[in-house]
Amino acid sequence: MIELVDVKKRFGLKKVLQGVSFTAPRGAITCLTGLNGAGKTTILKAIMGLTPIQSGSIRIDGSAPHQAMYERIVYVSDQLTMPGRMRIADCFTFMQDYYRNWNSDRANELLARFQLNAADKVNSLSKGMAAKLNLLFGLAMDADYMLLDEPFSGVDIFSREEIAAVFSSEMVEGRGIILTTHEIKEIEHLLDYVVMLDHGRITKQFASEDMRMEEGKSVVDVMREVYKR
Amino acid sequence: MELLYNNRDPVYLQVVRHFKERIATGKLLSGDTIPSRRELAGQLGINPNTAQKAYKEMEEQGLIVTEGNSPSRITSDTVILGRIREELLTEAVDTFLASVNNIEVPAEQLLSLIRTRLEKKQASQSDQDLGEKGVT
Amino acid sequence: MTTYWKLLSFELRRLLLPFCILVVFTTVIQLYNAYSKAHKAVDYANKIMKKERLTTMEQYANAHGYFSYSDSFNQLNWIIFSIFICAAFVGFYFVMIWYRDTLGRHPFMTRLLMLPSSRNNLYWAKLTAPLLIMFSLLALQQILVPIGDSIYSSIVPSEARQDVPLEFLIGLNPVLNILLSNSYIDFLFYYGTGITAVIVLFTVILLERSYRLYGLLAGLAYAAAAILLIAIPLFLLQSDLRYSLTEIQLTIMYFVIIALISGVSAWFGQHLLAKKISI
Repeated sequence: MIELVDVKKRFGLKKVLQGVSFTAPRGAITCLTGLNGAGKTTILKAIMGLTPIQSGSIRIDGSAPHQAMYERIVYVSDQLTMPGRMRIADCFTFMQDYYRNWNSDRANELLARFQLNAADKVNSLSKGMAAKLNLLFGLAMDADYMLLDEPFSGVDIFSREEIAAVFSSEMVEGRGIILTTHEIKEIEHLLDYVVMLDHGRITKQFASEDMRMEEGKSVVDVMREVYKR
Repeated sequence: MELLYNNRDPVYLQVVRHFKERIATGKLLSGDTIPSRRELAGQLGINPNTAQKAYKEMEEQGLIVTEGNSPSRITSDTVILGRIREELLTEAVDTFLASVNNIEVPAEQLLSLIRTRLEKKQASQSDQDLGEKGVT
Repeated sequence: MTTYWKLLSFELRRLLLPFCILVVFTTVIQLYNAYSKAHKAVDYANKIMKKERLTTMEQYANAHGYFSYSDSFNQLNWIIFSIFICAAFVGFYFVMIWYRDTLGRHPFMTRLLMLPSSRNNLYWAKLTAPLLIMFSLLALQQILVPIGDSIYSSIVPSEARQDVPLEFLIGLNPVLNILLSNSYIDFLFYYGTGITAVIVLFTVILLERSYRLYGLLAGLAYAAAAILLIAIPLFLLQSDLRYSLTEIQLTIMYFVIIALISGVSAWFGQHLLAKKISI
């Protein structure tokens, strides 16, 4: 599991995370949600070592993060992180070169499923295609954890459905998934755990099915309660 | 197969209910095999954990039986099947009664209205069947 | 192949096109310069010979002096221009190598920072790739001088020509004198200083990437301190009050200082890249 304990982070003088603690277990889909600027992306970047934290601890399967660990955790950010002039096929070669657990067969299978062309250059893709390619890079790795930052944002409805279908498939089995989004409504039925953030603090965290069972509330209901202004 | 999810009731129970409906309406017969947990998740568009929970619940309620590594099948236990029908009918009736709760009506009038509408429906259903067979 | 070599070859591949362009550009400029200079000399001689009714080149040379490839070698010329263009590109690239992957819609730096092996590999690949390009361009300069000389010699007849040894040619040109210096100590001095400067530059860049504006200011202060430190032995070498330190001792002092600065800066830069960088 990925565990954060009392994580605090500042950007200059601005406090971005003010004591965040939560656990994202393996084999489950955990959603980090909150309004824009709540600190969701920062948490994902901190887990990946892309931005430092000032205090608190982040533990992945019990140990502190070290660079070799990032073979088992993939981060699917909201931007494509490959040079614009590279072709998709070259990106695959790159990934194969540096990652032992890159699954070429699955990569090609997903390429066909998402209807992407290996000869296309990265900077020629539309937003929806880029989002799918990004997701592909994450799924084609045999990783234990997947962190997804706003996988549905700015993507047309059909691409959204395709992406949501991934979360119902065997590709997520056994993996720990953390995804951030501020659009809960369409995907609430897919989530196991929900962590709500507001200005760098956790305001509520729960298991969605328990909330439905015990209080008859949907995740959106809880959000309305928590964020009512 | 896509279910529209009511996000206020536990998803896994909605899946179980979906199966009960299909059994009660005869779309699923006893002995029929059902998709695996994985396939179920994909078909219904739910998280595999939820599919797992639904499976477990159905096994506990005796709706499905799993023998060894073969795919699970709908139970042949008539008691359980009967109970499901009863459960769904009761639920439907309760829902109906709740919706007419605010309208003051004596029981006999209500029952006779139900009978009339039922007969009308069955008549138009057989007309439709005749029509389909090409008889004027 | 270890990750360092993979990353190095990746960076070099990205530099391949600019490198080839610079090679062609430099070669064409310098060799064309040699060619046209030679022809100009011959045409000039022919003109004078006609005017003064001289018949052989030998007569011309006796009366008016010899031509040499080294003519105008010590002035601002095409050679210096071509070197300047190459140097400008390499200098620019030492900075851009970090920023090109952080700006724009596809921040590749994110991907590089997530690679499952030590970030030190990334640091050294980004340091050594432009350095290799730089040394290759220098090697090019080293061979272009004799080639230019032989082109010149093949056009200007030997009777009117004074040949000059290579070291002398290089010594005449103020820029080549530094870049292709003959003495080992001088070579180490110039290149040691240059590499130290690049390592300090990397530290400044990484400070900016880690702490943004405050990082940049801190980096500039750091660079200023480094400059002051190396100025000490240089100043002492120039001045009269040497505190009875010999030239050799001061030279050693200089090398020790730049080694220390490089070591500390390289360690610090890698530390920033591994633990403090923020994208």
